Amino acid sequence: MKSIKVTVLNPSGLHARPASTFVQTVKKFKSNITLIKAGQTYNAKSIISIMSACVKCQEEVEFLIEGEDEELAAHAVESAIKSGLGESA
Amino acid sequence: MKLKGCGISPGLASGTAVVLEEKQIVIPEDRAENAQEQIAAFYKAHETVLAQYNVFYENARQSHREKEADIFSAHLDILQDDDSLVQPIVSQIQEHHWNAAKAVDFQMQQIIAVFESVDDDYMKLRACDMRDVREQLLRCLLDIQEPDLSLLPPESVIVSNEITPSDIGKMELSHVAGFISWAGGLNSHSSIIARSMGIPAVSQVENPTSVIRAGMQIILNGSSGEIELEPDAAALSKYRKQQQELAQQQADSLAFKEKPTVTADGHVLQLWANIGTPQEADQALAAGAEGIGLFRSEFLYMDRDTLPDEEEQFTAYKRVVEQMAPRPVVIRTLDIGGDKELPALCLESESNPFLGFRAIRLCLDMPELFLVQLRALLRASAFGDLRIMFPLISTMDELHRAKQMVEQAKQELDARGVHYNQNLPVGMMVEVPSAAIRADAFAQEVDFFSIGTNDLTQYTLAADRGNGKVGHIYDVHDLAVLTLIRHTIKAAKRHRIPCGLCGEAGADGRLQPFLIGCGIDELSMSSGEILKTRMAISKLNFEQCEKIAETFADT
Repeated sequence: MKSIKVTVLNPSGLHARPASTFVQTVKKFKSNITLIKAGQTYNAKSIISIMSACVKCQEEVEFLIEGEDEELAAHAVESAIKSGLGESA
Repeated sequence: MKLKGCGISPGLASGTAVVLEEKQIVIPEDRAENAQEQIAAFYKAHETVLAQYNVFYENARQSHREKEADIFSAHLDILQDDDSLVQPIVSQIQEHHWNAAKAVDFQMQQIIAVFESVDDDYMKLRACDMRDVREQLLRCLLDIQEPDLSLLPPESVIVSNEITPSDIGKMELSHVAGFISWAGGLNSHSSIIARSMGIPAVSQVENPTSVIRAGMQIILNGSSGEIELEPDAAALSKYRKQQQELAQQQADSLAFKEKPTVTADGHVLQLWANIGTPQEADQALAAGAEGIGLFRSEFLYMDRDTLPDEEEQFTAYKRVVEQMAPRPVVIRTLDIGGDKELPALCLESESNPFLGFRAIRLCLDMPELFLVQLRALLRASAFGDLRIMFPLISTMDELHRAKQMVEQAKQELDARGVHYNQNLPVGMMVEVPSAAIRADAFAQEVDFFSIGTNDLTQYTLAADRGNGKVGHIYDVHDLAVLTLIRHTIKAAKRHRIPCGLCGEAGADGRLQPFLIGCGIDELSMSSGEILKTRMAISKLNFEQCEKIAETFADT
């Protein structure tokens, strides 16, 4: 199990289009990926779940990744969030 | 019979009611003997609805209805959510032997509840999306007949409790004269679409589907929110008269379309248009605008969850600049703030937003955001006469910093080898009293002024025009406001910079003589006002206007 903490950089937070991009990225992996925000857990592979998390910009969230490809998945999650999910600064 | 609601898309319309019944979808309770059959039925309905949304999405994209396209794109994402939508539904059918409709309803209600429980505009919009998806799936599964919206008779007035994006996606919009609903404020998906299509709409009408019956004649006023059902001969003739007067005025003023704006004694000025989206440039040209005096850039940032990047902005600005060329296009940098107006920026709510973190203050505090816009504007300046204008300048320091950011954007483009107009005019709105008072100093630092009379009046008289209790104090004809306007125009003249005006006062026939007499170079107004204004100005005498300007304000 890997745990990483990242700060969401998107000015719009994890909403609609960036959320969609994020989910497309993580869906490829076999591992379970859980988003933790303010003590609540959300399924990172479900756009509905991510939308309901209402993650705003500058919010730090944690991802728990568990599975056979957890290393790769963790790396992908981190770089996706840091690169701004297709939104330029 | 008269009804009153809230006008959410302006215009006057009349037509025949088409009532979309309250969607009483009855969920069958029958146990599913054959779970596999139900699962197959679900997948089939899922596929059908997916295809339907794809059609709506493509239609919207091809017609450049970006906002609609975004809405349908979100619906597509939701439908394809395996973990939260598809799999749970299939499992429920499998495990509990529920029929497909019951499983869909159960799962969607769970999801809807989550979004409805949070008092947040973004979440409410998502709740509406979820309700729409649930409905589309259930109608398909239960084979619920609905009026074929693609075969609407002409002049249809659509009446429904809530008009969803899917409803609109299915409609033959050229046959829709207006919308009447209960749900749906100014920022709901449907009203956004109605306004962008120029279809009058009224919401907040109680129980519209009970009160209004299919086939009824209706007159609606999307500006005032007034509705008249089965208008009698008198009401109909009043409506026809209003329509006729509008038509006559339009015909008369058409003669002025290609003419210059000039008073009876030969004083020339310019009439430009205020626009909020690139599409409105068509109307500006059709209305005989000699330029765009205010291109509000907020449309790029509002009602969406993402920020527009440099390419997207550049494309929008370039389109208008090219279309209007060689006429000038003055583009105002981002002029809003507040958590409700810019969901894409997740700003905190403020107790005093009009005196708060908005417009140029927000831009100066978020240089990356501002530079993206400035670079896009600079790039577009290579394609026509583009001019930049800063909103809400209240101090000299703000102006200096804003100009500095323009220089920085230029340097960034130089480094990329990208072309732009080196002599791009940079001006400012005069709308904060401090700027009007020091107009003399500011006139030496910008290439032009544009007076924003709406905000200038509010700030000068310290009265919120939207506040029922003090709205009457707001009056652009107040001597204090007129004095500041005249002072500003004269300062511009002393320092030989053009001075325009882009507030509503420009279209006010009672103020035009004063403004023209003060020496205003250009008036910018909504496209619909241009021709009649040019016609009115052709009857004015400039010398008389100058006299009026002298007497109307304190020295």
